[in-house]
Amino acid sequence: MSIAPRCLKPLALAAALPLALTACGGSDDNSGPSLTSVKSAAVASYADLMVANYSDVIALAEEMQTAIVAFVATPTSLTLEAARDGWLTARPYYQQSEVGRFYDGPIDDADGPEGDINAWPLDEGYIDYVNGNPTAGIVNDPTTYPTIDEALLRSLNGVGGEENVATGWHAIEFLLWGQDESTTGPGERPFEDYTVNDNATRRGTYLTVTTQMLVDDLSSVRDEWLPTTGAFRTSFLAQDVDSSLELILTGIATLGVGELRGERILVPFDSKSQEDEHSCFSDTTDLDHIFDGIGIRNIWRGEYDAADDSLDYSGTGLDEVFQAGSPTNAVALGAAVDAAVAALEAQDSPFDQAILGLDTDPGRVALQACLDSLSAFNIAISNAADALDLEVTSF
Amino acid sequence: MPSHNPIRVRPFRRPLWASTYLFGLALAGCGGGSDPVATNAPPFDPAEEFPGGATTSSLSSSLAFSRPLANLNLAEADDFFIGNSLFNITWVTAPASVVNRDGLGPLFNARSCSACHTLDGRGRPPIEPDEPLLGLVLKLVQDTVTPAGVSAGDAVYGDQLHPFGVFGVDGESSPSVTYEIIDGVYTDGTPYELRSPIYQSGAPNYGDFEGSIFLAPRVAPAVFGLGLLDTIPEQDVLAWADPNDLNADGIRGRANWVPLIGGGLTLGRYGWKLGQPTLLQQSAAAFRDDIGITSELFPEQNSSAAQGIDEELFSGGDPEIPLDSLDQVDFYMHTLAPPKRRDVSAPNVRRGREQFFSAGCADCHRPTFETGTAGSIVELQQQRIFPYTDLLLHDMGPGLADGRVEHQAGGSDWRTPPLWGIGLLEVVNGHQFLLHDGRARGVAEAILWHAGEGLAARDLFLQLSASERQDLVDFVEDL
Repeated sequence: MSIAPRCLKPLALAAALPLALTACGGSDDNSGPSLTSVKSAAVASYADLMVANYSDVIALAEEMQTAIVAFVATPTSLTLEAARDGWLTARPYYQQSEVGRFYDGPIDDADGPEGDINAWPLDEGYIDYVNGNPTAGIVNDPTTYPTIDEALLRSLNGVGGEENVATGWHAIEFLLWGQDESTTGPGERPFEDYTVNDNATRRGTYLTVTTQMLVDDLSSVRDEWLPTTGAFRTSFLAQDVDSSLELILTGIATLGVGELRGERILVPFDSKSQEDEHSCFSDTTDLDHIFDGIGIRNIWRGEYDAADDSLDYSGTGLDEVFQAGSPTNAVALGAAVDAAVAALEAQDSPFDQAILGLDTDPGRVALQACLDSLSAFNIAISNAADALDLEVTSF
Repeated sequence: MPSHNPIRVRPFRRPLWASTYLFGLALAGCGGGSDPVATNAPPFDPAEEFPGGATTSSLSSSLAFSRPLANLNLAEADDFFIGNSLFNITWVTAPASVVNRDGLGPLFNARSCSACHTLDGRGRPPIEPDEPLLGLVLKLVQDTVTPAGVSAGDAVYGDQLHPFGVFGVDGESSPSVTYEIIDGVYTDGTPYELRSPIYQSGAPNYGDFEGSIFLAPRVAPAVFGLGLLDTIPEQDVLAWADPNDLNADGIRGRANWVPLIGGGLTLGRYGWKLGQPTLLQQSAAAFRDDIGITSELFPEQNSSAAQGIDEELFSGGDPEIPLDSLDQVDFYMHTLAPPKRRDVSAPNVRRGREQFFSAGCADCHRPTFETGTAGSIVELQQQRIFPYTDLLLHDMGPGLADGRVEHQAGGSDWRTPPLWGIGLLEVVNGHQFLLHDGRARGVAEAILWHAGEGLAARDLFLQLSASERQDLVDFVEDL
């Protein structure tokens, strides 16, 4: 039997499945309304959780911005370290918010800013100098790009190839850490890149401009989720509850299966190339993976553990929806989510070393377990969605 | 700057069949206008909302062309993700520390597949005067045809111009484009403007081009849905062919039979003139011709001995992309899904659908096929699809002709391009430059360029009212 996530199955089967399950779960008449009310509560909780998550990320990104502005004003090894800490602190909370992707929501609908926020892999030489090419990149080309500002960077992002990334988390990461030439640690960009080295002032401008853009873009996404004023939230809560549930499930399924399993783990696992890893400059790719997994678990549980405790959120999770609608699948999917997070947390660090070697080496064994656990998650979420007659795409 | 050999718009000798064909067209032009009965639209089929059947992607965002077949089995899908990464990676000059992605050039049009097929979508001609040519290539063409059945290229430069070279190697020239504006008027008196491109090669860096060379531009087409086209049974394509116009409708769809590497002639399905038989061969040709990456299928570099470039110095291996990786790209090319339609029931879209059939658009932009059972990817099989192409060649008249011969495709012949996803180009690629060289600024201009076998349909479009024209465009943009 196909485990294809999109259930375009024959009508007769589609009709029969939920009937059979509700028959097991209890009487149709009694379980129907309560399932519907749990679904509505879960959809509303999801919207609130997105507000909490993005608000948290924005506050952390603003703290990072403060540190970056201070660093560019007074570049020292200490202020550089503080700027890097700002990135490292904010990043895991952004990763958790990635569950909001892949369904034409605020982050990545037709005019969504995702491509400016988190595009990767990034061709370093598009932005700045690289080993072997000291004059590469926009930073070192004042003739073509006399003024570095938001309009320029937005116009250059993604032009001439999908790896020509000019903005977002990974551009900032590269400007703070530089290329990772170390087998044990991250990149070691000297703070002198912002004092005496070539095009230091332009580099500082680039860093502050793209940081400001990140804060602005995150805010524009959060605003669409806000109560009353958020356009997307309004339609999300107004439409048929199953349609919104399908979006929520598609978000966590595609993040876990297509993106995390496929693009972020499988590709570098197969190529054994650092060029294919997610946060290669700061050597935090393993954390990216873990917090994507935790983001999925947040939606399952209806909980968000914020950096700012006042933003902690606890509401109705998907777990309650499936407990009401298909208890067997609730157990199976819950176990699959927990197993995936456990597997992700067990991977070795740094990722660029873990992918190397033989398939029997510990690093690769642990990563194979991540791949397998996310495959199992795919089957579990596909089965669960089928049981509630929901159409869900997982990559 | 010296202007060497600018494009010549219709320099080629018309093949012998052309005169009889023109006669047929004239007859059909009359018949088509007065007898629209045969082109009434069939009843709307709800399946039209899902142009790729069960494979259809549900996204309408910038990722609309980048999703795998929606029914793909994950257990078999690993190559999709690896193929995707190979499609996106930037190839670098050899030798380099990243050994599995070096070997760029020495001459090239782009450093990655996605540079031109950005987000698996469509390239475009330059907009700014000094913008480098990226997203389309210029073929170098002579009137003579080689024994292999294609137009001869330049003795030194070969059959494709490479504006770029790796560090230390000059690009072949820096071509540019300008446009001549052509004024026209719809029957209702509304004026319109078309852009006719004039390509300049720029000063050549490896000696003069041969005197008889002209330039044939081709933009990079979108690459989703190709696996479905690959799975259409050959006999279903041939069933629509009408090379002698036996039904006297002025439309002579013709198959292109093209050589398969390894031997034999196969139905051409890919490329602007159906010049490539398989996605593997098409992909391998593009790697070599456009990026300078050799493979088992195309082991020779894309520069000629006369250019005196030390190919060994820049070799990234022999071949530069191993067959395993090429197979993964091939799998990726097969498994990108077409996007769902957005507004299939809107009244304007439904009216436009009627216009589309009444004007005869559907006579070449064949709405639907059922895929067969060929190939190893079962998800592609037995799907009712709506690509809006007949996978056949049509003479599109002198205005669009580029003079390049590819096997049975003559200088003014083009494949009917699929129309699925066309309405999402703006979202994915930020433009709507259509036709083989991106000269048309949107659907209406593309229709207005139709001549030859498309002339009757264009003339009917000209006669529509403004709101009827808009309905037709709205329908196409919903595809």
